[in-house]
Order: sequence, then structure tokens, then C-alpha cells
Amino acid sequence: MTLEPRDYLQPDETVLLEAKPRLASLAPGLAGTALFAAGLAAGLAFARWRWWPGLPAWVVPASIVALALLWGASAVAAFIRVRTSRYVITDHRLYRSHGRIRFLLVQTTYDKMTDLHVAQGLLGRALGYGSLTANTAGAALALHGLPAPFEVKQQLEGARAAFLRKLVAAHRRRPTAGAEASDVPVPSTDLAPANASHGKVVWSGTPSLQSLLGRLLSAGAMVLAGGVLLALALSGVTGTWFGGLLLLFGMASAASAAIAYKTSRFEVTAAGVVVSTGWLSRRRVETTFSKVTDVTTTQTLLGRLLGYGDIRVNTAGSNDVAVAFTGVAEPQRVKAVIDQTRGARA
Amino acid sequence: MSLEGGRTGLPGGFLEAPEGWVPAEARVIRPSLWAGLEAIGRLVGLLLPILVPLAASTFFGFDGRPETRPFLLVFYGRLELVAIPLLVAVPVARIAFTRYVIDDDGLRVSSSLLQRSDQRVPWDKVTALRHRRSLLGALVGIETLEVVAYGRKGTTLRLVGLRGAAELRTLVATRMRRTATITALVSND
Repeated sequence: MTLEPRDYLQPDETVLLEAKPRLASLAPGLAGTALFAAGLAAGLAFARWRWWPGLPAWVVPASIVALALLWGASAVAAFIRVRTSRYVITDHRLYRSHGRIRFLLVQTTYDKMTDLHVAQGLLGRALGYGSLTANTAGAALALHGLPAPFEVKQQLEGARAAFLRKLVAAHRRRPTAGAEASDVPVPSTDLAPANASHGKVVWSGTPSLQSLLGRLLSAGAMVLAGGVLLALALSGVTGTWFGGLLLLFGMASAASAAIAYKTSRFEVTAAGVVVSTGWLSRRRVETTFSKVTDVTTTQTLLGRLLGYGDIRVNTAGSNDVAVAFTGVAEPQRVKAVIDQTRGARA
Repeated sequence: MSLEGGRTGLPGGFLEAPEGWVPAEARVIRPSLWAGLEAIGRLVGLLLPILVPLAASTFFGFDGRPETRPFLLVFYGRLELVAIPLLVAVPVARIAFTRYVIDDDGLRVSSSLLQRSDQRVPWDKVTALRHRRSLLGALVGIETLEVVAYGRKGTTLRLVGLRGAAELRTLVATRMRRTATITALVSND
């Protein structure tokens, strides 16, 4: 069963372009892997002649045969992949698929596309193929070996523009109209002034005592183990001073847990979530619900036993720092508050 | 795929169902346990470049003497009697305690084997959708959907062990299209 467009297109979609990758696009990859395999075989033969004359004579020809078979298998797999690949542009979405028994289908709508990138190598320019990559805010859809990539890019840009015009027209037809209906709405900025309130506080909390106990238990185990090892080292039984490091690390961990317990504060407001942490240097992280991509709750085994967990609020920003409520009691209930507040805001 | 609504499982503690509380209109999906074997197959595939040369050296290098015995976990003592069952049981158990919840607001993946985790993505944050089927999946009739959300790293919800994934794919694609509005586009920008 080949995966054909009729298997996955939506009923309300119209196909604007259907393309298949050029077989010639396989050439550079296959040549590269063949050279690599030949280099490995040559290296093995040289090594046997120079350093390992005791290696059995059959090893080198057997390795050459094995490498050739591997290369052949990869070439067949690449050929099947190219022959079963389909690139489809519709009036709503971009699709890429390949495979028969084992397949992959990737799709995205045009409103999620951020930019398009076309690349053509030397062989691609001679034979008329290239790569088109459609980037979204979370993934990239790459169409390799695409014939006439620049023309396809123009068609894709046209389809995207038409799709966005449809969205604007749909927005103008909404019954909330008035004078504002004719304009594309500008949402309230999420960059609130530095001293402005983040809105009404719906829920506030701190790390739970149980989470402190959990962390102290772990730190206590480290201190105990480190103390025993250090005592053994001091009495000359063992020669390692690793126990001292473990003891110090355990004490630092306990101190850090106590400070976090006393100085962390979490808030869910009408506009978003706020985390304040730190003792000597204070840190405050805020995010608004419109920027939240997903919310994850995690409870370790100890957390499930003692009733605490972490809630991580991921955002669409490029910063790796996520907003996290660590060690809160009843994390499922707090997450429900976040979900309800987000839903009420929407 | 099962269709349930309202509160499921016993309330609270370790006995609560992995999905916890779900609204009445939500749909709860239990992945097929074959997905656990798929995970093992992927792990074996990753380790093949190490396992094949080691197996070859074992076959050609071991002549029965203890000093030529290769230092390989599988052949060392009787550790393989514990390691292999664990290697099979853990991924399968993990799948058994995983649920996917689909409701009007978004998609959620919940897992509660020892560590409990819950990840939720609203429909308007979904940016791309991947539908995969492996060789093992083709044999046993299961497929995988990957729902990619906004974010530089692209938060991805992996829904493995799905039977009839095409229906769910159509549902997600329809929700993606329905939440494509100018307001959402500008606010997510």
C-alpha cells in the first residue's frame, strides 16, 4: 500500500501541485557513501599490511564484501524512498510523504509557516532540482530533490498568501463586527510595562513542605554516605576522599532545598504565570498565557508518595528557561487552575 | 481505542488511572502494548553498530578458554537473566500506563509508571503533524502520530501504539485548520 494523496487529503482541500523528487538527487549521497566504504576497506587492507600481518587473509575480502552489501542495501533503501516520495501543495496545507509498508507523512497548515528556504547545489543546478525547506515555529518540512524548486517556492508563497487572505475574510465576516471588523485586530501587547500589574492573582503558592522533606531525604542520604566514606578514609581503611566531596555536595543540596523552600513563590494570574525565586539575588520570571505552548506536570515516585510535583510551563520563546513551579502540593489541582484560567481568558 | 468520559479509575494515589480526571466529552485512547516492542526494536537498531562487531568478535575470537571470553554484558555471568526481561518489561509497562486524552481544548499525554507525568498542548499551538508506521508497526497494525507544537525546540507529543491512526490524524488536522485564525496567528507571532 503506497501512501497516495487520496489517502490523507481532507475533503475540503484542492490540490495545487503534486511533485516527486528526481532520482538524480540520490547521486551525491550514494557517491559519498561509496567513497567512505571504499576508504574503510582500503584502510583495513593497509592496516593489515602495515601493522597486523597476523590478521587472517580472508578478513579483508570479507570486509569488502560486507561493506559492498551494506552500501547496496542503503542504495536500494534510498531508491525506494525516492520512488515512493510525494510532495503535495494544496490550498490549505503542505504535505510530504514517503514509503509503502513503512511510511512517514508530515503536514502543516500555511498559517504555521514562518519562512521558506531554497537550496540548489552544482549538480542540482545542472539537472534542475533542489531542496525547499518550509520552516514552522516548531519543525521544518524539507522537500529534497524537488524539480524546479524556485517555481515551486513561488507557488507555495502564492498558496500561503491566498490562505491568509481567506483567514482575513473569515475574520471580517465574524458577527462581532462594528467598525473594528474591517481591520485586522491588533491584540493587546504581551510586553506589559515593568511596573504594571500582571492582573488579578487567581492562585498563589510556595513549594510544599513535603517537597522539602523529599529533597532533604535525598540530601540526607548523600550526607550519610559521604560521612561514612570520609570516616573510612580518615581511619585509613580506604584511600579515597570522594566521601568528603559527597558530604559537601549533600550539605549544599540540603541548604539549597531549604533556601528554595523559603524564598520561592508561584502565582497564577488572570494574564499568565509568575515565578519568583532567589535569596541573595532575586529572580522573577513571568509569561502570559498567549505565549504558553504546553504545560507539563511531573511527579517522581517520592513525589507521588508525599503528594508533590513539578509543573513546567513551556513558551514559544527562544530562551531555554521555562517557567516552573517546583515542589508544589497537589500539582494536578494547580494545573487544573492554570488550564481553567487559560480557558477563561480565551 | 476506548471511549470514556467523566472521572476514571480510583480517586487519588497510586491507583488513579493514568489520565486522571477527564471531562465527559473527552476521548481517552489506550495505546497498544506492541508499541513497547517497537521501542525495544528502536533501541536494538541504535545499538546494532556496537552489537554486531561484538557478536562477530565473540564468534571468531572465543575458543572456550575463559581468558578469551568477551567482556560483554549479555555473556557475563547470569546478568542476562535479569537484563533481558527488564529490557522487555519496562517499555511495555510504560506503554500500559500511558493514556492519550483528546478534548475540545487540546491534546494530552499522561503517563504514571512510578514517575507520573502529564503534558498538554492546546490545538492552536500545534504547528505540524507527523504520521509514521514502522516495519513492526505494519506487521502488528500500529502507527505513531507526532504532534509538534510551538517553541524553538518544538515540543513534540508522541502518540505511539495507535490503531486506526488515520482517523485521529484527520481529527488533529481538522482542529489545526479550525484554529487557524488571524487572531491566533498574530498572538502566536
